[in-house]
Amino acid sequence: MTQLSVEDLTIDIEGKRLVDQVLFDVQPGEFIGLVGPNGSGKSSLLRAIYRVLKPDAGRVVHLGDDVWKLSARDAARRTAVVAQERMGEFDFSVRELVQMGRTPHKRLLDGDSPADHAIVERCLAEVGMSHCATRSFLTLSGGEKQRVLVARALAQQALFLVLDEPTNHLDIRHQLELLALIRRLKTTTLAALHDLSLAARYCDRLLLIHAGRLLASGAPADVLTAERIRQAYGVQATISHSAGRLRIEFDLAG
Amino acid sequence: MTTFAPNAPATWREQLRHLPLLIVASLLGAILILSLTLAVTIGPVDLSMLTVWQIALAKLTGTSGDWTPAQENIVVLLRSPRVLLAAVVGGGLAAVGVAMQAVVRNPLADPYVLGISSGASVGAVLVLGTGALGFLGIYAVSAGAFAGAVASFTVVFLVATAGGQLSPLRLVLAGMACGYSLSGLTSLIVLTSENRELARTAMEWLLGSLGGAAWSDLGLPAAVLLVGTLWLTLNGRALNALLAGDETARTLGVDVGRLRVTLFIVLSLLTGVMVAVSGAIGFVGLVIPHVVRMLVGTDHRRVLPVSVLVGAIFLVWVDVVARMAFAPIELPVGVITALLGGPFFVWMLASQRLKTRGSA
Repeated sequence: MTQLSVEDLTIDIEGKRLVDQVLFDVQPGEFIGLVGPNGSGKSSLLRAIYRVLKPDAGRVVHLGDDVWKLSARDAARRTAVVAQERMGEFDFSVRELVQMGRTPHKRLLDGDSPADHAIVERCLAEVGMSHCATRSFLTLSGGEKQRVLVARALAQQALFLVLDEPTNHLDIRHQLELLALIRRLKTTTLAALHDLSLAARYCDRLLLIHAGRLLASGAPADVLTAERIRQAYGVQATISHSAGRLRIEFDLAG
Repeated sequence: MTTFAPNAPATWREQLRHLPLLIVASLLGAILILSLTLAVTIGPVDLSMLTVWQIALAKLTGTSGDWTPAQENIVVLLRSPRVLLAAVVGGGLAAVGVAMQAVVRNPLADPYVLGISSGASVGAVLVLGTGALGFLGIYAVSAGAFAGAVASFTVVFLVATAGGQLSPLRLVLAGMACGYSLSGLTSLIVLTSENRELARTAMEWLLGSLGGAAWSDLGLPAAVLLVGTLWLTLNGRALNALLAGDETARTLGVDVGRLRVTLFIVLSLLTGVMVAVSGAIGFVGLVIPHVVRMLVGTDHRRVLPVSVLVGAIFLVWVDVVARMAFAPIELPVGVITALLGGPFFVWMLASQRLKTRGSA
């Protein structure tokens, strides 16, 4: 039983092929890391999966339905997203922003119920931002903002979490905490990640893409070989295993 | 980091932000009623608040009392419709300002700044000047203003988004250019009109005036204000999400395309109907939402109803100033809002780093 299938997904923009016949499945409860160099098509692929960028060919099937045929509301109850979009300069409080996550569960006349408030407070606590609930979002640091956006996605209580570079702007401690949190949640997750060592350590499986194509997928140790890293990133990698962890060191290719 | 709220909010402000909407609204409602009453008492002939209410109640219940027919005429025919119209138009323009700022994700948006009011003026005077849309009866002017508002909103939006990105600078410039051209067009239509009455009111259309308001002017704007504000407030969650970004709104389950189109229509209708009765009154939609956000936060479910009330109170008093400041000369109310709003706009402009890219 597969939760999400990406079937031969292809995206062209202005004549350029950003994603080329990408094909993979996600099983329930998996934490999948999407890795690849800048411009390899990670964000485009994710945006097609969370229904913002319409693919030119192929399908994204979530729990048996083509996501592009769902209503916006139904799709948002299945999939929550932490994207890289910057906020404008309107001044929401942290709590108001997390409350937005309840939007897809609300009809026109629904107010915020005690259950909604409880969910919002719990999600704030999960990311360690309870103490900032009444603060203005705009006054937070980059890392704090990121954690609030994760809390908003959690408040959506979706079955599937998509994260685009969620550890950007985070210091190492918060990177580790965030990835540990995702592991702990056991929600099916697809996350584009920059740091290969962290991806290898926290993800069940990795997808390596390069120039819009899926180069490899599987267990981190199988995907991250010196040969493939050289192919995708154009760097020399030295890989070692110690205490069950993958260590990767990089050098510029000679 | 640019903010449109103070960095360290004072405690009373923090508390105000968390005050239940019902309490804030009741308080403002009471202030509005008091303002309406006071505004009716103020004028060349002094009246007491008590007399005003006695006359109003007598009119409603069909009884009579010990006041002169002249006093009754002043209250019923002269001042009340004008004061009530000020409240309706003020509330309407404030609501449009709030929602328009969410649509374009920019606190500098306002129907006047973006040239939408000017578009509505063109539509209105075109109908008055040519007698077009005659089959719509007393709604013809409003219909013309609505059409003008839709057309100018569309043009400004398309010009500002050319190249895919909605930049604040382009938006303001497109709005200003559109507004100037359309004001010129309004002048042209009005000044060359065969309709002498229309030519006489040229200034009122261009500057915005509540002079000569009659009870028959009130019905449609009041109804549109009520329904429009209700619809906008019910969609407050979606507006919040829209403010956070198009992509975010979509991932939160908002059908952004459909919401935008509906908002275009609702906002054009509100602007058109308000402009049809009062001309292009500027800056109310800019100043009021900004002040209200500073007081009650950014959640549209609070900002919208509160803005309507504050906008109503604001325009009632501004119109009192317009009537009394240079008595017996009455200024068009738009002169005062422009004098207040212009510097306010400049101040906002100065405190916002105008980025040429991104949604600011």
